[in-house]
Amino acid sequence: MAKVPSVVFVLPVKGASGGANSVVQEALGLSELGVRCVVAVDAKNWGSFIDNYPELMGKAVVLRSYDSPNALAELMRDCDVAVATTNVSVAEVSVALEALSSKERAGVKLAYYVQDYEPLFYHPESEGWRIAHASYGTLKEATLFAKTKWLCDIVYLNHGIRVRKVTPSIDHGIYYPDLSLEKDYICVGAMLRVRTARRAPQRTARILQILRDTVPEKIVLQVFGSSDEELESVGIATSQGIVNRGRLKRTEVPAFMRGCDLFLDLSDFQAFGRTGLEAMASGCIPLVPALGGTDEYAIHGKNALVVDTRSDRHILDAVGMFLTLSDRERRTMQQAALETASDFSIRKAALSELRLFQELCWQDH
Amino acid sequence: MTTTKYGDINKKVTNQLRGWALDPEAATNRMSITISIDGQQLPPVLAKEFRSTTVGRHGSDGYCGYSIVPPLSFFDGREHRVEVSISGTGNTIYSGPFKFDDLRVGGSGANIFGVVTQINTAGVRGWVLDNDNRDKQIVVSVHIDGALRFEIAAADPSNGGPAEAAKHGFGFEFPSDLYDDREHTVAVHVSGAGAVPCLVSPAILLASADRPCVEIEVQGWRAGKLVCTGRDTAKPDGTAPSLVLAAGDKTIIPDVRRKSAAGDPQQFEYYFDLSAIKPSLLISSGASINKAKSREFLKKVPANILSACARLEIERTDRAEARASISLAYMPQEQDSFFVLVDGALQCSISTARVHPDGKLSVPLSHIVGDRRHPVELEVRFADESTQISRSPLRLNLLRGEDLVSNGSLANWTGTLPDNWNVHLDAGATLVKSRSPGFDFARVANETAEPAIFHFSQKLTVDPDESALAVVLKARSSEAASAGLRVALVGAGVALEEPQFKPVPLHRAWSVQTMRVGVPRSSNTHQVKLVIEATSPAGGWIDIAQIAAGEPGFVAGSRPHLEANSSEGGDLNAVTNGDFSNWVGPYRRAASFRASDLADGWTFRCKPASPALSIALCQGNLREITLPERGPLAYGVAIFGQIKEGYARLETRLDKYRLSLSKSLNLGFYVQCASALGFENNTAEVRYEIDHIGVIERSHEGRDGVRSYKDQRLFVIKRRVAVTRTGRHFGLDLKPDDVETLCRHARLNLDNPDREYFLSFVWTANVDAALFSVRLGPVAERPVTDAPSRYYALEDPNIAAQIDRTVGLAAWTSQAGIPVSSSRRVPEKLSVKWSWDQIHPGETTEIVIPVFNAIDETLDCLSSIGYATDRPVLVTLVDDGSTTLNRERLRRFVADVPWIKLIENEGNTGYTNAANKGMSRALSKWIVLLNSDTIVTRGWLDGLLEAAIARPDATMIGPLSNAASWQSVPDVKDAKGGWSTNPLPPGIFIEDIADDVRRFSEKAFPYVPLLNGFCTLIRREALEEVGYLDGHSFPMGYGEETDLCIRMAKAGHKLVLADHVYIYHQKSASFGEKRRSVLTKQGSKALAGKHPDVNLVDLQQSLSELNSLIGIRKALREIYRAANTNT
Repeated sequence: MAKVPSVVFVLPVKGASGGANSVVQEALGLSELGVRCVVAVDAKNWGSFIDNYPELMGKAVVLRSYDSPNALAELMRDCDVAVATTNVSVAEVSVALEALSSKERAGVKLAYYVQDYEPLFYHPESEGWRIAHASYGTLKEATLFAKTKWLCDIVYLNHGIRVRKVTPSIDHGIYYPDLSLEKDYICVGAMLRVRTARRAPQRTARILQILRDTVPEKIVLQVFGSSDEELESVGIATSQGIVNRGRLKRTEVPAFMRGCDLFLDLSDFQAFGRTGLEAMASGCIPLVPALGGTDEYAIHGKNALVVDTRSDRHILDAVGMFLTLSDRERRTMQQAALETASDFSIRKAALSELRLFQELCWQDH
Repeated sequence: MTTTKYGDINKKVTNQLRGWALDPEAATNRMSITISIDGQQLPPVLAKEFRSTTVGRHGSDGYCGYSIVPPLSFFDGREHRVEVSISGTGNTIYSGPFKFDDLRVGGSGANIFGVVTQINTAGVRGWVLDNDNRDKQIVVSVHIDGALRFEIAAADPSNGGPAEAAKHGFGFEFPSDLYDDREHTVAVHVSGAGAVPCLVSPAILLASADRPCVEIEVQGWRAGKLVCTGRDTAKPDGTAPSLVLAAGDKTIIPDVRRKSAAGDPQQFEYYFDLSAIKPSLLISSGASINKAKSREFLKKVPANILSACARLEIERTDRAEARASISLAYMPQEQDSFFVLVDGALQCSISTARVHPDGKLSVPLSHIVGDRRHPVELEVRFADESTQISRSPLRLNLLRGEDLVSNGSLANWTGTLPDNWNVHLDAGATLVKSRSPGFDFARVANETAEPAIFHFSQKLTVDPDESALAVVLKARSSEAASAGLRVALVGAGVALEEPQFKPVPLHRAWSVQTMRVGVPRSSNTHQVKLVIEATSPAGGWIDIAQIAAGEPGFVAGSRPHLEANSSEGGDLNAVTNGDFSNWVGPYRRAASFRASDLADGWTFRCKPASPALSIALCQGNLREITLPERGPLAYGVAIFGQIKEGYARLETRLDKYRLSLSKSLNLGFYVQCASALGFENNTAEVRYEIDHIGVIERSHEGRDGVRSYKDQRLFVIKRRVAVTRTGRHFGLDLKPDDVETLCRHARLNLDNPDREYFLSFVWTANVDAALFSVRLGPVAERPVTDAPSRYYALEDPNIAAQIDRTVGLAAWTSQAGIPVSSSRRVPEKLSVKWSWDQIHPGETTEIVIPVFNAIDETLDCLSSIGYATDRPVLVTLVDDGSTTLNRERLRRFVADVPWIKLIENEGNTGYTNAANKGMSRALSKWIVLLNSDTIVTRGWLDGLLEAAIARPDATMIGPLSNAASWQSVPDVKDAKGGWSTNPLPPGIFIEDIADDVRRFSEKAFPYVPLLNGFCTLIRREALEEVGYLDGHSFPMGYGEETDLCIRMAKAGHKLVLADHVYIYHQKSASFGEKRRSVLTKQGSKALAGKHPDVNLVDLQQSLSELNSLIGIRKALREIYRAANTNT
């Protein structure tokens, strides 16, 4: 029987972002299938990464740090498939390849797990944009794969490079609902990340303030993602009636979600919108942006609210609709959301990636 | 049954290349298609459009269609060799000849291409271009009934044509006089090419009912734009008419069009940005509002509104200085200039480029008028025209505009009487000095039971030439009705002269009145006496706070107009140039001086004298974070650089008078990092802040002619104010004690020039700040907007900056909401070209679908109608009380579909009533009553209508289905003897069965006694003759359609089976199995009771013996068995 490929995910990030969570939990999923998985984190981010994923210690996934292209090349040499996960990691993998002999290079299949359309993160005149834009074509032999059709399409449309579609994952071990919870109020939660403009912190603050001023008292508003000081520093006043839960650890987010009935992700766009799906798995209805790839899982009025977040009116109309639903209708939506979320498991995602990696390794034989 | 195919091309469509392509191995992957025509390679195209025929093929989701409009040169009516293949695989989809439409405009000899893409009662659209010279703008002449009516340039965007024609579209609407119920011939010629090249010449009937009725009202200037309202009275549902503004040779498209706030749903507001037109040109050439396409003249913009685009005003912002200002209603892109003339002599010219972005240019009058000591005429004209701007010329009398009254504010008293005034009181009246916050006043109280009269008088010195003085009085009374106040001027030396009193209106609240009082001729020409006579009501009082007099236009000593405003919340901003609109110093300088003057009233000081700081005039958007808009553009001052030691201070003198009137103070300003506005900043700080903001008192001292001053800090308003890159508004309330301190100081030193008060911003560390919009005054009421903004905006500027260069994101910039479907995918076909507005229901077929929950099935049904119907249809959905959530999904789904009308019932009235409600509103000849759980197939409606034509006596026509009792194929009954639902075997799709039914059908169109009600085409006349469904006997359905069939048959009408049409029926989605069984039983019982003369068993027997279906059933059974065996 053919050998199961071993994989190194090159993940030079602090962690805790949606993209990093995907990679880590899918690496765990692969390792549970018996795939030897290495997660390579650069030395600069190593400390924060370990803090963010303490559960990785003692698991079958091998965590390695690298401080130079040679060190990364060393990790890649031992694996059948090297997977870049961000535009920075593409550049690093590309440099590390130089350190491999041509034979070694032929032995490592390259892949790029496209987590987002990253040029949108940078100003188009900036160096960051140039690198992100070039990243899709940097690794000539790499196979690109992504979680949503929107990502596959946008990379193909702009770079002419085919992107394979894999299944998104969600960690049902931590994201689960508490259907026994009984409360006589509706809790609306939101993520408010002041440092990330595409996550629209000002829009989020604005909508929450409008909701606070207009909705009945039976509604509780809470946010997470930034400290009070951070909110203050960009001119967002934490105000009475809106509870700021501050920066939550990755493992604290599920409890936040479980306590919410509606979760607002008012980002400009979402390539996938992991948090929305995690909200669903927690029994909470997400409001997600129509722009991007949320249609991978969200159906407006069925399991989610999907709105053109560029317009306050659209958002407030949708929230208003949700608040007028009867308990029974809300339960119907919750049930639909839970059913949808259950279609996305780590096992399923890991299998879809494994199939891709196996195809890569077998294509020579 | 189906062969493996990678794709196909549709040869019936000849205005483009259209087809589908997919990878049988991975049918949801979107294929890239390579196309070459006569060997010429076209850009590759992604096959991702929806094609219903491909749904399910190799597991495809149907999104595998492609279409491309080839270059113009191929539209020559000749055959071209076309090769279509899948990129990279070499799999050829098509290779062979293909003939595109001939779009050459015949006979001209020139290489001109064009086509009329649309002609209807609204007008004509098309495109035309000269292929030899594509930059050339072709003018087309429109001949109606043989006569030239108008000429228009083909320069509009054109949709659907080849890329070359993108900017060569034309279109016009018919002039309203043509709507006379007659046929007219319309011909479009290419102007200048003779009469021969004619694009179109059909006859069209223009009914008077189609006449456009657009009403226009030009409103004036708002927010830098010309605003007009328009309504189309012919369209009561509120369709906005398309308007443009024409001025000179320019045509302006409105950049905002929205529903009028007035609440009239038919009325729309249009905002025209006229910045492309110079104001002088606008005024001299005039402007009109025209229809967008035909350019048909609708309304002339009134001349007074146009001339108001530039206005001359005189402001008196300060006691000493008057200013003239030129206001522009909009900012022209191209420079225009004004000539300023005084008494007919040119003084200076001013460019519009100097006008502040808020549209105002303010000039101190002393600069223009100099020291002329007589009244002058100030005139402002446009430089290139003899046009005067609005309100010009103005007659001014500046230098003698002084208040002639001493102690007019009645603030100074000696003993019980005010200084400088001669007071005479009736007995019983008392005069008391009183105090109101901010000012003093005199109260005349009358404690007697009779009205008491008193007089105030003062001698004034007046100009002998002056015929009248303006007198200003600020007063109030406890009994405004019975109190009286009069004013007169009498000759000072003539004691016996009878005063010519003028009455002054009095109110309970403070009011300021200004009146013109004649100067007596008979008196000593230099001296007159001002007499105020007040009649205090019995037991009441009159208060006088201000008496001022001067030549008309004079500046009252204590600006009573401001005091009057104060009670109404007028502007008491103590910072006079807080918007930095007036700037005296250079626009950018290094702060190498101890003190530098910047904008008017602003000074920059630092210690030591030469810090490494720069100061500059800057411009930025003041974004209010609670609003999505970018915020207004404003001027500000940017300060940036390093402070190694000492401090830097930006200060502005506060207006003592305004401070003295304030009861509460709030410091408002906007601050942002200067580096965020593009100013270089080499300091490596992460966090910037203003060390503190405070108020200082400056005391001037003069000894031996040497002036010096001393600053003393009164209080600090806020310390450590963070300056961020995103910028923010601050609104800091001053502590009551501080307000009290500052106001008291200001009041006490109102007339003391040696005491001044300054607002100061102090930095002690590195500076990176841009300060805007500084205001110190009473807390301003913030307007509360209850309606959220209609503005569509991305928050991340990085995304907005690259939308243009990123393929696939164009919709992200639209100012319309991105449609979001409530079903899994948005079938593109749903945006078909007809709508309820455009099509008269009588001309089409209407489909009535009662809906009660089961929303997924309903959306599938609507999607199938969208892609499977090629003829115009109008759908009426009757939502019969679905739950809120289902209702929301339905609303969202149909929101952007113009051919679906949604009627919502409050509660569940039952299927029958809902169906009747929908059908009773139909106007078409044929109505389709369709269950919401059906999926129609390609050509279904054409098929039903084909049967109607073949059987002219038919009034009800039904198709075949998988689950429709006797109309079911292949099997009517299942193994247990119940109605079969004929589930599709694996790998077989609905369209496959529909194809097979069409193929194997004899098209016998047999007459039948009954039809299943899941989908029935009904002739409306017959329905109205025999009556609608019986809602009384069959409220929830189940039997109502059989009842209708029986009634039709009894009335002599025929029922026909369209045995070549197959419609899939998901079966009873609205009710569960149990409830359905109960309803069926109830229905049968009601039916038997209503038609005891009809033997249903006999009818069903005749249905079971339909020979024409034997062939189809047999063939389908074979197909089902083969498919089931294969798996």
